[in-house]
Amino acid sequence: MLHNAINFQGLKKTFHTLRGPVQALRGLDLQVKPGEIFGYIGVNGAGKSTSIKVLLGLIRPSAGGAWVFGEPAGSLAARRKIGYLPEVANYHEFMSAAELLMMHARLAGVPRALQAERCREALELVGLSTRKHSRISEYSKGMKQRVGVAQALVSDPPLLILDELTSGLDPFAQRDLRDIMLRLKERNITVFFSSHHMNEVESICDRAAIIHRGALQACGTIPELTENRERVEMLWEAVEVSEPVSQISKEGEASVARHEAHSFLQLAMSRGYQLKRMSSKRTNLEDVFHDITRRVDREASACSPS
Amino acid sequence: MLSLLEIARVQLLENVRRQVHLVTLFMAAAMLMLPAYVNAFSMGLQAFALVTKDFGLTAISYYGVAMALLLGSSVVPRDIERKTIYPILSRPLGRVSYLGGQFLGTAALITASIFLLTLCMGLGIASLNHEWDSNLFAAAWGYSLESSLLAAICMCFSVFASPPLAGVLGFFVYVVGGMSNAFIQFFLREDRGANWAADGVEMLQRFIPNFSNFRLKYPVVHGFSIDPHYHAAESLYACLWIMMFLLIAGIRFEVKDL
Repeated sequence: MLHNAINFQGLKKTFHTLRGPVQALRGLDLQVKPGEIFGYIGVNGAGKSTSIKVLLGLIRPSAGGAWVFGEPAGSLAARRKIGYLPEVANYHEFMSAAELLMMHARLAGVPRALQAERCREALELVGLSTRKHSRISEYSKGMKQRVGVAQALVSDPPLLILDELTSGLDPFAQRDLRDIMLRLKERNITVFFSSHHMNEVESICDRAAIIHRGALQACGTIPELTENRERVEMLWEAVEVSEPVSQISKEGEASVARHEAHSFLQLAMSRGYQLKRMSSKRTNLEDVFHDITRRVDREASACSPS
Repeated sequence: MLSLLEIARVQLLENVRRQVHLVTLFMAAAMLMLPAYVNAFSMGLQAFALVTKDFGLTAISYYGVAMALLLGSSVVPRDIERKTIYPILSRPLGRVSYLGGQFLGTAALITASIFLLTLCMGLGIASLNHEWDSNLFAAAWGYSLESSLLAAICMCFSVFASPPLAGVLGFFVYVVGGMSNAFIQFFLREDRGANWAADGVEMLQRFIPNFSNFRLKYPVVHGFSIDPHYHAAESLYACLWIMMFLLIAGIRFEVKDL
């Protein structure tokens, strides 16, 4: 039986603070298939890092469960299948990249005979072979992230979890890391990465999920997420308005979803408006993300007691 | 087990690089010079070696306690704060192994430092006295056990509380656990009349380690021989208490959200 690489089912996590309980995850359901590059998008505090920590066993869920290739999240068997790069990757800076990777190879239980070979391969993949004996404290931020990816890869895991991999990096370093992820896909490694960079997710991910307020809001391929969200923008002239159309502002502009455009057009023209210009605006992932998060925020504030 | 040793090795290397070890170097230099300094005030009396050993071993004991409080209470919170713990604990490695490794690395460093200081003091005395006293290392071993146990206690508290609070609690256990019966009876009860304090200390002492078991300064200074079985007994005593504190820390750390 083929298991999902990641499976969250009804995952809930509540932190008990001095100010009262804080619900970080409110019943998260999400499945990631083996071999795909999966983008995990959300604002700060949406629950991305919390759910990733649950996968690693760093945090225990309050309810629901998580599995990695069918193994309960946090178990030793599950952790053997994961390579992890944390959001803020700090390493023992007195070590060189080669020493750090050897340490992680030993901790991951890589057989002694394979340790050196695995380290060499991982460093080659991230392009740090020539600097492997330099101290990590001498590396730039981009190089440190690459070392982080190498340490995650040293145990040859089938699942790589990268928490905000390209955050704070320059465009060149971001592109380098994107290339590395595509190379990992060729090796059939599942890459689960959280990001704030929508264009990055759009360009390399097979599928993506939007998480907001601790719950999954949307999930699918990029075309699935953006289709039916295309908008049509129109400029109208009010010639003889019998009865106003609420979507048309004073300036005579209107923006409607593509699937509503035809009926809206008919309604407006029957009321006496004259269409001056019409254009179609393709929606990208960023627009979808904004639409969804704003809608969820509006709904949440409408439901709140204040 | 291999993972535990790997964590211990990294912890040892990490701790060696901490600036606090400038104090160790300063202390080592002081221990080398101490015999000559004491000798300058001895006015020809041959008691200088005795005074030096007394002074030196007391200083080494305080050094061990300070290091244990400082390192023991901060190693785990430091790793959490710097987030170096995340990639390590994402490996197939039990949290108890992680704690054990952190403890071993810390204890190894404290022990090595105490032996270094003792060696310096021994060399200083031998250079003036032309006599090598290997018994000094018996006292050093006792101090190493004492400091290692204190480090385990602080590490245990640091899993529950902030590093400063863990240090304070550890110091409290050290002070109460190190109070001798003579001190309780003659000072607290008879001299001060603080029976409530004496009762409280005696009650607490039933649940915490007795640190006075590790203090071999007086027999060493006065040249009494120490039964080798005593070293085995004090080592076993320390190991059992260390294991108990690490077990308590491990149970809590296992369910702690990081």
